[in-house]
Amino acid sequence: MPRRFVLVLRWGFLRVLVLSEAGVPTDSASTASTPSPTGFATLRGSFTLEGDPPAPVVLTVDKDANVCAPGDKPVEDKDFVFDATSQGIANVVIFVENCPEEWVHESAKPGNEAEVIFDQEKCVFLTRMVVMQTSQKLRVLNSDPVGHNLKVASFNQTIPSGGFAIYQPLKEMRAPEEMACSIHPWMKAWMLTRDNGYFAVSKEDGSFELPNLPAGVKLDFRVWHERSKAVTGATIDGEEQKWSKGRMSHTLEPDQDFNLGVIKLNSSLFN
Amino acid sequence: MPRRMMRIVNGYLVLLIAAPLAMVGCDAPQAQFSENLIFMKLQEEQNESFSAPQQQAIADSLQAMFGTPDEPFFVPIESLSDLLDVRHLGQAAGPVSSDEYGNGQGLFRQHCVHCHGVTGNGRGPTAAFLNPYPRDFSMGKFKFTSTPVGVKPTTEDLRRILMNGVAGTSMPSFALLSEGEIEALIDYVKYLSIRGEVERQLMIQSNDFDFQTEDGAIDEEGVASFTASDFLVGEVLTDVVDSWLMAEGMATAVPERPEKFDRFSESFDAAELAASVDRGRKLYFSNEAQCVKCHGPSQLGDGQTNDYDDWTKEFFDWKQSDNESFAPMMKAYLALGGLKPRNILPRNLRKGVYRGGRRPVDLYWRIHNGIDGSGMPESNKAALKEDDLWDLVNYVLELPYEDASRPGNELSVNTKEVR
Repeated sequence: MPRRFVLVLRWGFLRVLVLSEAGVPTDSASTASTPSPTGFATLRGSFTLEGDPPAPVVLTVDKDANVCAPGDKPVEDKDFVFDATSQGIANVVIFVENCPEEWVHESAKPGNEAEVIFDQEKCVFLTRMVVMQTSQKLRVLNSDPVGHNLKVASFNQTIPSGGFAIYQPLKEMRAPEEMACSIHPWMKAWMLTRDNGYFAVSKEDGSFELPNLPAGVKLDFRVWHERSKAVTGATIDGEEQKWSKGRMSHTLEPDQDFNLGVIKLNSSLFN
Repeated sequence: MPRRMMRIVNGYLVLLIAAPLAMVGCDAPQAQFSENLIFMKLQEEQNESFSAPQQQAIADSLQAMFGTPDEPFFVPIESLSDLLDVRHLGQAAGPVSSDEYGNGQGLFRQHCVHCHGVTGNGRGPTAAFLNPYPRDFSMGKFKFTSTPVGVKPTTEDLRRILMNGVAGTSMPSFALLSEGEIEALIDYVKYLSIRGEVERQLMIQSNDFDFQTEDGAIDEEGVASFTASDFLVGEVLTDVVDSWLMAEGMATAVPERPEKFDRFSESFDAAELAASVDRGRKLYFSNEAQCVKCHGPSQLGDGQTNDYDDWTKEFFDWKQSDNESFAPMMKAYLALGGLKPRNILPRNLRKGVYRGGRRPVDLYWRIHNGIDGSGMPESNKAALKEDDLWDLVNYVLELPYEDASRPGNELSVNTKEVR
């Protein structure tokens, strides 16, 4: 039985009913036959750019310039990493949004405790897009001769030159959150923590791979890039895809190696 | 927008608005919570435009869960009595009045609303004239807490701010209010903050629901699943409330300050204090503590002065300020009532004015935990231990008396030779 919950609230002499019971007829759909995976499968593909890459942003480096902008050369932001040869877009995140723990493959179960290394050099965070499981710890290093601090979610700690700090996330994030350094405010990276291990970040050539996904159940994937935030559409095989709020859904066959192929993202997304 | 207005006019809301108005007369507009249009704009930038039914569902849900500024309400969840006393909300809210015994009503509107606004968004009528701007409670972040970054303040933290005010800002002390009135205001601040944070969460999470069918009609099923109390109360509200309840046990325990540093103690040792101040000074310039980076080599708060606080940065990406999309965004932000952004400045430590309190324990908290929402980080736990923190506290307390022409340390991390 679905929980029925009706709340009657009082304003002055008026009684207004606003909160309704869960409105979807749940009896037949979700409670009777909860779907369960029939096996495991892989999803892969490659994000490429359609159109011209956005003009690079030149950063204002006004602190510790001898370390952060050696030789007084202009420093460009790495908010759009693009490989002209393959047309690939790096640092696109794709993760599974709806995945009850009992669907999750052994290799992606919550509880992974492997440390993730996060370093900085010349006032640049060496990993632009950090994705890890909530149970993992982030070991923040500092290879610069100057001090930094790292500010993200529930963490803001100084990192001495050559020193380290450990960050243990408090909870799963719904979308990536910004990582910053207050001493050098132009420094930026992004972090996403997920309970399970179903996430991938596209490589230099734009490719990504999500192995061991539950098959036989409808999975909602979220696609995100820091310049577009939600990636709301793409072209695959000449066919236009509309991903409302950056979401696409697939149901995979057991043992299937499903290749989406070349996923073209229009440059208008990134301007 | 016109469609939405029509809906309101046609809907039951007209009753809600008209009935009390008829009682108080036309010249007293009823206080309303304002929508967080800036945060909505931000969501729209990152996703899609909010549809009229989506906006309506959020407004309805908020009203159902929190009532109005004249008749605040709190959903009777299980843990409510640990969080706040609902009777306090009635005392703090509503128009200003008092009964025959002089018991005040409408405390928030009497004392707080000019700066913090009816909604508690820090944008009351005087806000634009103040520096720093009043706090916007709706983000659920508070600066001067005994808890670590990312954790809510404890009730005691809020009480301390209300009793002492915030030195160096426009926030005065309310120590002349009775204990009961302070209690009422503390609970009302929690209420406004929770309401504001729930509104943000609803705006974020509403992106996951469908409010309109493909032909543009209202998706009743989608609206019903959004306004279902399993979701609103069971997920969104409970999450925010839990973060407040959790904070109560998370105040950083501060070890007793060694008595030898206390001028009023019998065991006070001037030489020990001087040595500690010296060590603190070394730490100030050190790689381990890095205070000099922001507070500057002369401790005047003139190190890093280009950053913005979280309330400002939430809306802007300052690295994009040369981008052509930046100016229109700024214009939109100001048009929606946003206050002109100002840089956040590190404290001038030579003034002896400490916003979060001047007791050694307050300074220990600031250094150990950092200041939420600002650039001030917490001390590095691997590099600095308890004794180091007391040395820093002692040094900071001594700084206003230090000769400003005293040369800086040998070489600060800023001037270190680079390979």
